[in-house]
Amino acid sequence: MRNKPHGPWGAAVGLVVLHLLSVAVLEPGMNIWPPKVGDLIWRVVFGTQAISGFGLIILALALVALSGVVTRRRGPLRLVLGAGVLAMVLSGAVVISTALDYFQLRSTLRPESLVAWDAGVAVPLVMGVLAAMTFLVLAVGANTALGAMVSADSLREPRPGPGLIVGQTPKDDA
Amino acid sequence: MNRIQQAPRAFVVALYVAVAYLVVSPFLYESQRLLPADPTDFDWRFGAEGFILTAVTTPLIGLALGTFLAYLRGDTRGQRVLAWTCLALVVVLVVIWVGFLVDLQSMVRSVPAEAIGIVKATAFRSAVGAATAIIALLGLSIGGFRAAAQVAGSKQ
Repeated sequence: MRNKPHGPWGAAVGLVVLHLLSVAVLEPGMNIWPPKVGDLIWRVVFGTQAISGFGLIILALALVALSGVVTRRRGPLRLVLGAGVLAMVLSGAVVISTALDYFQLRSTLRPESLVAWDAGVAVPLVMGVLAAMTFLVLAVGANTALGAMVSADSLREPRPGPGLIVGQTPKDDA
Repeated sequence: MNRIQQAPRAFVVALYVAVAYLVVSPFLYESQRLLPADPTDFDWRFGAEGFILTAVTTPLIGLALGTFLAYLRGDTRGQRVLAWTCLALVVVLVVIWVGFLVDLQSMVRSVPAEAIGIVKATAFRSAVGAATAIIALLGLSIGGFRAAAQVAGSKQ
């Protein structure tokens, strides 16, 4: 069976993705509200909370990519390519800034609480690095799928006109 | 014919069971916290509504994957069952969502002034998350019914 684009399907996937993104933003967002950008502890907590929302964003992008591949539409794949690169850069920036902030914060913490803090920040940082790599892989995968679609389409499309004989130029043909 | 249509039946059944697990498990998990049930108790009711509204993300993912699987298989019965499940969940969630908003008004009046901000923020998160989930489930239901009709039409 050749899969064709389905209007209702595209809308449904878009709505599911909207829900996933809203939860990915709202859940951690409520834990760090109101923002206190000047506070070092708030910045570290912000980083770890932001990283906790990356899983749902990855799921949302994967769903969009899957729908693009199945329905053979380029729009969703282009979206995943752009959003994947952007998310990779942003997640990388969050991981690096959180790590730098934590190194600064660590010197001010009590020695008996260091182990708990180290574990509480190291795990999200590792997850953040994995998330950044996943965003990159999603973008690369979307790009590869787009390339495959373009080459498949160019093979399918009939060439216009009678065609040229080897050694002949369009002018000669005219 | 695509690969998923050629896949062994046992594999497809296993995928549907995984989908059912994703749909049911969050509600079962939340039910541990909600038992014994006492709908006449305002605190229990408000808490239960909040828990159910925030537990809907995983079932939504399960239903999206299930509908996708049924669509790829060209399984019209599966598509219709999942579309009806989405629709039933929409009806239940809309009732709970409205009840939650009504109870929220009473809750805001009864909590101390310093706690109103936290209650409103938590309620906002639950209400907006559930609203987007309800819209997505409705979209999945409509999409499932239409795709099933298209597949059924192309088979005839």
